[in-house]
Amino acid sequence: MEDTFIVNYLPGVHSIQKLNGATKIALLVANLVLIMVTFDVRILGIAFLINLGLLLSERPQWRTIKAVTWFVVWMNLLNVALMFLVSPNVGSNAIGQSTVLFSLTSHYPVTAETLFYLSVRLLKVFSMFVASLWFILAITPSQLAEGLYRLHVPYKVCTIMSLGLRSVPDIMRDYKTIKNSLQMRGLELDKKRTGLFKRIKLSVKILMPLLFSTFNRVGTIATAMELRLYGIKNQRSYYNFQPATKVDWTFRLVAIAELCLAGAYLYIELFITKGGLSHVWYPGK
Amino acid sequence: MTALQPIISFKDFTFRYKSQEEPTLKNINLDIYPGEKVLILGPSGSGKSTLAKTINGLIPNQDKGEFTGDVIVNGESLAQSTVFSRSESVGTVLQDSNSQFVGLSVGEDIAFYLENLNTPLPQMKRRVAESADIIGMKNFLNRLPFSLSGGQKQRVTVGGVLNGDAPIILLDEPLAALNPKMSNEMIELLDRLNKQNNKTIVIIEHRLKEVLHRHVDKVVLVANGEIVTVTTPDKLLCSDLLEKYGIRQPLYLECLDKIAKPDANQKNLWDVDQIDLTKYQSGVKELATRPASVAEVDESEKADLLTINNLRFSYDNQPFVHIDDLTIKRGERISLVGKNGAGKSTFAQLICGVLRPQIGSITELGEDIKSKSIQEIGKQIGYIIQDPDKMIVEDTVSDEVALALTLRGFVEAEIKSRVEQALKVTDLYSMRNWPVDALSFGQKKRLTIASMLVLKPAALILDEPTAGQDYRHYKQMMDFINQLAVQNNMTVIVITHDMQLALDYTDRTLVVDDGGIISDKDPFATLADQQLIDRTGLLQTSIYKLAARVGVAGDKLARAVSI
Amino acid sequence: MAANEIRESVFSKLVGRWSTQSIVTVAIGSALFGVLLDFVGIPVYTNTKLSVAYLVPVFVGALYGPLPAGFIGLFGNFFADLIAGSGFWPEWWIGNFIAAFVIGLLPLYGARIEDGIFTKKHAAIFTITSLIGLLVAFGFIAPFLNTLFYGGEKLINFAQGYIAVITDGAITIIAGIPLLFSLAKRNRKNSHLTKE
Repeated sequence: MEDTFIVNYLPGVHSIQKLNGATKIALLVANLVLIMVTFDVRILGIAFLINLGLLLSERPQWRTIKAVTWFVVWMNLLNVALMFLVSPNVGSNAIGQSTVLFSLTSHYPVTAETLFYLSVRLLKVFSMFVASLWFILAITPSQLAEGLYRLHVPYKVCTIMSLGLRSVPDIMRDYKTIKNSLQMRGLELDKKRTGLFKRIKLSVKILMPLLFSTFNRVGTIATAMELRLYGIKNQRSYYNFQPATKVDWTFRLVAIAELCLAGAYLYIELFITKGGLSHVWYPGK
Repeated sequence: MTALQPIISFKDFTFRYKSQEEPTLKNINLDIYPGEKVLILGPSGSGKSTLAKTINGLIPNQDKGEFTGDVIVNGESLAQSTVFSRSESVGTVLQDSNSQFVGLSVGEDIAFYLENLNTPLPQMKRRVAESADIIGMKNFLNRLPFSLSGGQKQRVTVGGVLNGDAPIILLDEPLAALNPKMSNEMIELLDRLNKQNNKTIVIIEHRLKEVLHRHVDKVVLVANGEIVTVTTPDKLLCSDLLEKYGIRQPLYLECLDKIAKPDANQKNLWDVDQIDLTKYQSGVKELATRPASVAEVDESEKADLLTINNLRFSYDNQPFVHIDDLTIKRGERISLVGKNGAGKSTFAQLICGVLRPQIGSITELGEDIKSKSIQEIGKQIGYIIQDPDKMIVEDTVSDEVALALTLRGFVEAEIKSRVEQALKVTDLYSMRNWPVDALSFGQKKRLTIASMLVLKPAALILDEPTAGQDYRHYKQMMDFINQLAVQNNMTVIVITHDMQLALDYTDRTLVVDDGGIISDKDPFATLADQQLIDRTGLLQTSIYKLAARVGVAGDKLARAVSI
Repeated sequence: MAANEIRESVFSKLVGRWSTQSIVTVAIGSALFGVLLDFVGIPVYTNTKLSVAYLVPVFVGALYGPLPAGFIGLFGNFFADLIAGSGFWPEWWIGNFIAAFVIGLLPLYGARIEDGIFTKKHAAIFTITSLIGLLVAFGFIAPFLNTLFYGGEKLINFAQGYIAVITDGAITIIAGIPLLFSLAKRNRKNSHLTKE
């Protein structure tokens, strides 16, 4: 069942997978913030390479990530094509100058700026994707909960993470059981035989027992937790805790550096060059 | 025992839940001493679970109500208790092993208690390893909950409880979801904890014979909220109290009772391996050699329900199910048994068309099911899953029963008549307009059966139909299912761990192991096969042990004793 | 570090007041939302899907209120991204939080599902507030943040958002309202049941 998931429940063996949970979370947040904040292709390029490096260092199996990678690549290429069709001068508008390279039709000039802008956009979304992917392949639910706690998130929120992810396989199994059982009674979800409207109504029928059987357990789970002293203190320890090593601190420094870079970039953009948040750096300007 | 103070003491305790009109517990007086192993026995509704909740502090802190008298645990009175304070003295193991397992791995779940106390890591790791060793799961620390059986999860909870060093371990119906082998292992574990680690063990159960796999110091019989008696197992087994309160007697005693009532001074009555059989020898031999009055059923007259030919099924390219040749006829009563993971559910899913074999064919009512959809097969074979809450979709009883028909577009008049019939058969007609939530667990189970009966299927597959229910409800359910099979020529296939159910209510037992059917005989003969037993973890009922001691054939004795 | 500590204790006070039951509800509700978002739906365009997941905030909002419902939207989306692996898009987490929160506002306008109260008037208010919530969340905030963070053509981003409003709105209203009526019916006080 868990081969349908990308995230692993057990720790992996490659170097970054062995890192402390808090390190990975900090690294992810720093990378996401940096990528989201900047439109400067130089910084984005560095971020992309860093994240790609992190991803490749854990030697992901192509078989595992093939589907999502193609999905993200194609969806974004499609998006970019649509962007061009809707607003062929998007790049020139954003950058503030227009250098026409050639024209597809009179309404569709292809400017260097637009090509550049669309490339920056692609670089951004692909960086987001790669950053998310290495994280997902490196983290386990236990490390996620424990890492967040190290970063001063209240432990009750961390419990939401660990308990939630623990329940996911069970819920998937329950969903399949309920669906099969209803199909045997005659529920028809085949596109060819039932219309969309009806299918929406029928999917509710599957949801009712799923909702009830899932939430009926809340009382027992909460009772079991309290019987084992959950919530008795303001702090708790974590069995899966791994002390931070030198390697951890190296990566944490990288994360801090990235955050500082993001901060500096924002400061410069907002107050010094006054370019604004969406300012795109262009080499030809 | 020296003159010790009781560790748990009920003094004139009466308790009424806030939402109820009548008190659930009345005038309870009970003392449990440190190091004792106590069974609190009673049918469902007797108040025994409420008793448990007063010991671990859930009452009055989580479940509100009014009480008089006191329940003193380890010196602390009820009024001053909180769930947290009681948890220092009492480690609780609940019935639902899946809901109790909150950690993401075995080690994490065992550590949960210590984590909550902010225990430093080295200490925590050491104690988790110790507890894991005691429960026999030392090498399982990294296992995920999804891959564990109910019995294994239950053990992990016990391991977690051990960390707290609580002197009392309280278990509320721990054996409900366990197969006989795991049930025995749990009882053995509790016995070790009692004898080697000096824990006071309090078990709340209605399964007397399973708990008596090892001796208990005292049995507290509870019924209607009051204590009927506090006695030893031997004395209890001699009396007629069990029958009076709907608790099933161990089978070997049923057999011995047929010969002569055991006298009150008989020792070791509770242990089939040690009981003195001198005055029973001849009686047992006589029973076993009686000519078998097996009703000769002419099998050749019955039509085929389904045939399987050369079936091969793999999950993710791993070969699993392999059945060369199998025929099931209409009207047969079949039990499907085997270890967890042996392939019983997979087999059932193949028959229902939920899973499709890579090789081979399944023919049902004369047609190959390869080209049929799940919905079409569902018209002939109904599959009742174990948890009724996962089947119930509609709001009222009659809507629920009608669902299979409304989904298939039957006409109004036909729906009405079929629903009425199904409701009458399952004794739910008087509740036809009730909201489904108002039904008890047993009623909900009957509801799920009714909702399949409306399709007038040729066969019903029931997954653990009696799990979690006490003897009275077990008997009601199985008698009812039996009736269905007999009166409607319906094939009934029961997936179960309970060999006694197979013996009492089925004629043919298919033993599944590693994806194949390794035995296909009547249940009595199945249990007589020692090699089979060893291989698949089935457990012989106590009758077989009795027979072995006297020197007669186990299956002959079992046949003679059953109906 | 003083500012850090103050922020931490305020935040932890806010979350700390939550009972174990609320935590468990949000945890498994988020798991349910995440699973449904990923596996029970049809992708329409990029990140938008016709998914039944939105019935979870309807259910939870009805019985527990807007804040648990909102968190289920937030964490549930995070779980869905974690499981599916097609990337983290934080603006959608925020959008789902807001939408789920507004959808879960039922108790605030008198619909007490646990007592069996849900009238046509409530259904109407529910429809309007849910649509407003979805519009604000996916028709405005998410696409706005999307444009801010990743650039792109405003029109397309907003169109993407509107598609989400329509698909999630469809589920919430077409499937959610019958669900609410059904829940209320089930919770009607059972004290006057008689056998017929």
